[in-house]
Amino acid sequence: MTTTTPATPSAPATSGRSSAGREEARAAAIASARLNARTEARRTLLNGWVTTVLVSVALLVLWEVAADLWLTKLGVLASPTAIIQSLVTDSGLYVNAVSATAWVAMRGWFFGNLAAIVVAVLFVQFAALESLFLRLALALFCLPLVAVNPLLQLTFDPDTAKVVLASMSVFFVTLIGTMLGLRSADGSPMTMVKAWGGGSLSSLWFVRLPSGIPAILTGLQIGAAAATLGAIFGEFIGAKAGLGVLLINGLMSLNLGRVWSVAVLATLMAAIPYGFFGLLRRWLTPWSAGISAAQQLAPAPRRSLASRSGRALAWTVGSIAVILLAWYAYLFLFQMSPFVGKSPVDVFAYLFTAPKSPANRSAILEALGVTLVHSGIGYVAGLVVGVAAAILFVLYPVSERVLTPLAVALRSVPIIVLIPVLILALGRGLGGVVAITAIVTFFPTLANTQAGLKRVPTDALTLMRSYDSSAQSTLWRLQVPYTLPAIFASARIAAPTAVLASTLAEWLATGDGLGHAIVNARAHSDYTGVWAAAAVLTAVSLIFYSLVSWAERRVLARYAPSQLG
Amino acid sequence: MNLAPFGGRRALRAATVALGIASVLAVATACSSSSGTPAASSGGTTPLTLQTSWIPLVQFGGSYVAEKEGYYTNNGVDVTILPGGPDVDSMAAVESGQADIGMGNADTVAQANANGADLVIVAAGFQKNPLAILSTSDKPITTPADMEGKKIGVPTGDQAAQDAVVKANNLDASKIISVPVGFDVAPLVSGEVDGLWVFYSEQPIAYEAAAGKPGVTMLTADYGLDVYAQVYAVKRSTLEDATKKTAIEGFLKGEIEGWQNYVKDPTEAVELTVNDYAKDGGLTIEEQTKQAALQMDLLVTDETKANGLLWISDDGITKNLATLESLGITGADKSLFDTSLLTDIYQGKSSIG
Repeated sequence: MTTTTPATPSAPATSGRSSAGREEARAAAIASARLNARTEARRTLLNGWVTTVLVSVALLVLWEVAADLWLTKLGVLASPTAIIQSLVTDSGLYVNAVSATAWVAMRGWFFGNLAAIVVAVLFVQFAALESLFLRLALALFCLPLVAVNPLLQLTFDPDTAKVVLASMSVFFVTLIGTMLGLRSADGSPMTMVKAWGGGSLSSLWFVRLPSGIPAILTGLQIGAAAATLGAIFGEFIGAKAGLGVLLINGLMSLNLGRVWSVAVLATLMAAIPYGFFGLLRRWLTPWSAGISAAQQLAPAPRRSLASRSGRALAWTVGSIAVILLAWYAYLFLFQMSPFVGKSPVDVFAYLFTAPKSPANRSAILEALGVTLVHSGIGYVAGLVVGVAAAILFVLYPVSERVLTPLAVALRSVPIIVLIPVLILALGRGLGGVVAITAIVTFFPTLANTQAGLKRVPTDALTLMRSYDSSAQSTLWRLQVPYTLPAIFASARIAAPTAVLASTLAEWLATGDGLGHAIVNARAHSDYTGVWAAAAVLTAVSLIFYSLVSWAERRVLARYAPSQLG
Repeated sequence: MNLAPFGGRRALRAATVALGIASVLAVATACSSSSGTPAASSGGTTPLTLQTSWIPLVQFGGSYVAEKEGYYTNNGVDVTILPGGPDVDSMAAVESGQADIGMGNADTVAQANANGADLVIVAAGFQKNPLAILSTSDKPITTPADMEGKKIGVPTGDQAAQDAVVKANNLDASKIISVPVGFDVAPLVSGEVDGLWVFYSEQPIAYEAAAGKPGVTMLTADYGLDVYAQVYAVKRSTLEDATKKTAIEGFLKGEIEGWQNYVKDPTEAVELTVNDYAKDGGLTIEEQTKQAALQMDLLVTDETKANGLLWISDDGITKNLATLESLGITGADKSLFDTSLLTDIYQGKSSIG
């Protein structure tokens, strides 16, 4: 916490003395108070670390005991000692696997982020591009992994396919984060650039990019976990080496030490860059707290309701045309064989005009209903817990130190390893699938909310402190309102993620919903079915995303500006 | 002139870091692409690509032996063996031209054809379908009738197979609870299910290791699911092109020699798998030797003893077509198989080389 001076314990018990003596006593009192404060701060810090270590050790012991007594026998979880043993005995094997996967993840991370930053700059500089192409970027993000993976395998050579998958897992989150960062510069510095005669390029260079850097670095930070997961899933389309290969072999031979060693390594591969880019952000952009204070959205230009909805409609139609064109372009440019590459016309026929279309339609609608229930509940749960955890971290910093590594780990453990544990704990019904969805939603929400809470300007915090506001009151009156844009930004991104996660869980755990439908169609070489289900799922994710951003605009327009003054 | 921090020293720092990352990646990419170019076909051999159906295992041991021992090149082909995985569809890879030969089950080939592909099976590696139901010795499932009243773990994609077994054996589907599972035996070890659809030569080994005692395996091939597995499928148009057909025949010769070597003594295949083709897969000689031994039951039958490995018999075709019908796959007939290459290779003998 901050180092506010605590109430001085032994100050002015000195009345009937000379003024010089009084001065002396006061100086001594101040010095002793400072000393106390410093000791106190050091003690708090020390206490924090002691608690962190104690809780971590307790968790490890608990893990060891639970695994030894119960979970290993059930074929679910290896104990920490078993994992260490496996890592040590087969260290050469793991080094090769990590380097194979890391090489794919790094390239995917690099190209995905590069593309995202370039596209974000273009979108911010040319609003029309954003209106037309953002939904396409979103559609790419919403594509279900279970459908994308086999198609990528048939589009590119195996290595490229893996890198493309890893960069696709990174792209959208960085895009949104960077756009938010670049936009956060609206305000007085921009006015100043304009007043000095600067054009949009100079405002990009002098204001937008510097204020966007913290957000970009946050994207790079979160992207490391996404790229690692993407690279591991990429190995499911055929690989000789890598963590994904070890994972498959480990699962098939039920070698739990192997499976959980892979999980630990994947976690480290995500957590190390996460920490590194966090440090880099603090080192490169110490000004970030000052600048990104003005994080509110630019007030939308006021137009009449009719003209606004007319424009929105035009952009929506344009976006859909762009998505359909991109669909055709993909089939044409990569010369997709008509056996696997189905066009929008094929999908339309499958759903509406073919003789079996009523049956196809009702099957997909039924599956969609199931998926919506799964993802909806998981989404809300993940969001609520994520925001609550971030707030808890602000109120009790010790909990942040103890739980952040756990939260990062939870996000980075390949979900395919985690699923058996969750199934065992919560069953194959609603509980399991909701938990899987919630975990995926939880992490970005936590990270963004935390980052948002930290970006609250220090002068506003000082003001609250000078009014002697309690931590609670500061939180609700200042920090939470300031963080609303960040919370909504993560809620927006989490919407399609939740849908994707529930399809993954449906494939591996529940055997219903659209996730199951896609895998089943693929198993039966029914590629029109795959495309149709993927298209419906993507469309629903887009609508879901739009609904959340509609709510975001409503809430921010009503709530944030008045709070942010 | 210090209008914004980005113009100052920190910007330089940021730029240096970014440039550093970029150059490292660029150099590394250049290195990997220069060393990773596949050797062009040399000495008049035809390049071919074989898409296997799973990650490298002794399951493909014969192919590994064929490549390492030069059986492919001796027969005029230079074969690239592509690893598979859970998300690999070998049939789609062949149909879309990414691979020349794909490995899969007869029913996956027929299924692909029913959806617009035009593939032909030219040889059958596994004479028996390896799909089996694994159960515990406490609650054994030895005949399909034992499945009634039990919970069966069915991976997505095998539900149709279960439906076919139910139908072929006149079982009451409502008495069998299907539970969706992945490809690990944990649900059976933990007791979540009583039976599990598995690959005959793989998961039973893992189950025995985990549970400390062997499970009970029921081969579904003995109960109505009689299809060839690990078949070699090519596009029909490939066989219509004389040069390509010769290349495929050369490939099959090499493949047969590889598997003959394997059947004689699988040691080399096991060692090649563990130490070479799957050297980063974390396999063990012990476990792969067990798998190789179990696999013999699938490779070698009375028919292959009489006619040679990978053989396709008329009787086999009839059985396959009957099973395909019970699986609900339409449109399959004798033209799904082309036995001319095998006939040409074996010339009435039961082995080559």
